[in-house]
Amino acid sequence: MPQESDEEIIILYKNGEEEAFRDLVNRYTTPLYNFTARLASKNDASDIVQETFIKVWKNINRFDPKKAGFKTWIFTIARNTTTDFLRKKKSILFTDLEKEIDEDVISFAENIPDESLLPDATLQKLEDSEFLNKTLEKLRINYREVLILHYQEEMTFEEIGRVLDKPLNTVKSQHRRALIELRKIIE
Amino acid sequence: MKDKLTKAFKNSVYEPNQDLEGLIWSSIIKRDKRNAQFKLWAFGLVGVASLAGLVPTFKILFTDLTRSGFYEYFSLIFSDTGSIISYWKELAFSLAESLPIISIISVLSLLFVCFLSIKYIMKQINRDQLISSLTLSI
Repeated sequence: MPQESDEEIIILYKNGEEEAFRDLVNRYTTPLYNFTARLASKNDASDIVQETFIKVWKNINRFDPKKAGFKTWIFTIARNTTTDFLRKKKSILFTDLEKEIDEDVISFAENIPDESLLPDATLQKLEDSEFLNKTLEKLRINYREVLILHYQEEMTFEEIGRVLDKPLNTVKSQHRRALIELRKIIE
Repeated sequence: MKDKLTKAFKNSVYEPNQDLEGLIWSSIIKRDKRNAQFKLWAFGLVGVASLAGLVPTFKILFTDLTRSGFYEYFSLIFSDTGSIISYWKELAFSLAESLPIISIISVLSLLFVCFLSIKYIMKQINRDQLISSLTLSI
């Protein structure tokens, strides 16, 4: 039997099938947990995911499938919840979020094709899950979120732009810079 | 590179606590139940208030109907059929003019609110039962 789409589940829920929401919880708990655990910490991820689902449940009637897919919508809520959580905890300096790496590196990076940003040796190191997770922890949060959404959730740059509320070109350039910083950290 | 990175990310997935899904679901059910109970009380209060308001409003309506002479005009319908046929237009206007519009609107509004709250109370009772059955299934 084909799996129901998120939008179909939401229609069922809105038509009074309360249990349908549980399917969404089952479907998105692990992806959201990973997203939030990597942006905040594993200890706080459960609370953030729980808060995210409560926000989703409260605002489900506002979800408009014409504007964006459910996955994009739920990750936007998760990202905002995580940001609020970190802001409350003051564990990140938000001025740092806007800072970029130095201009020489950027102009150099613009000329490298995407495929060559991470050499094979670096990629091989990242295959070790523990190493990848530790490396990601060292990465700037705004770069980390782009990488997680693109490689873990396999979102397109357009979808990431919607989640992060950033223009497509900004997301693309953040992705390149994230790969360069990742390479710098590993090397 | 993209495939390799995607594979690396997928292989390093953190597994959440096994209870997390249940915790999320039960906290949603708890909030849902709290909301349903709050609405039940709120609609119940509105229903009782509108029902209580109906008593004086009905009294005012009957007083207004007596004062305006509505009953006199109305009794004419049953007493003098011949005159009614000749002067039906005048009688209709007199009846309409003697209607205490504000009192009638007040009574109808309160009746509407009362029936609406009964409808929502029934809805919330059904919802409460549904949520209780979901709580049992956790």
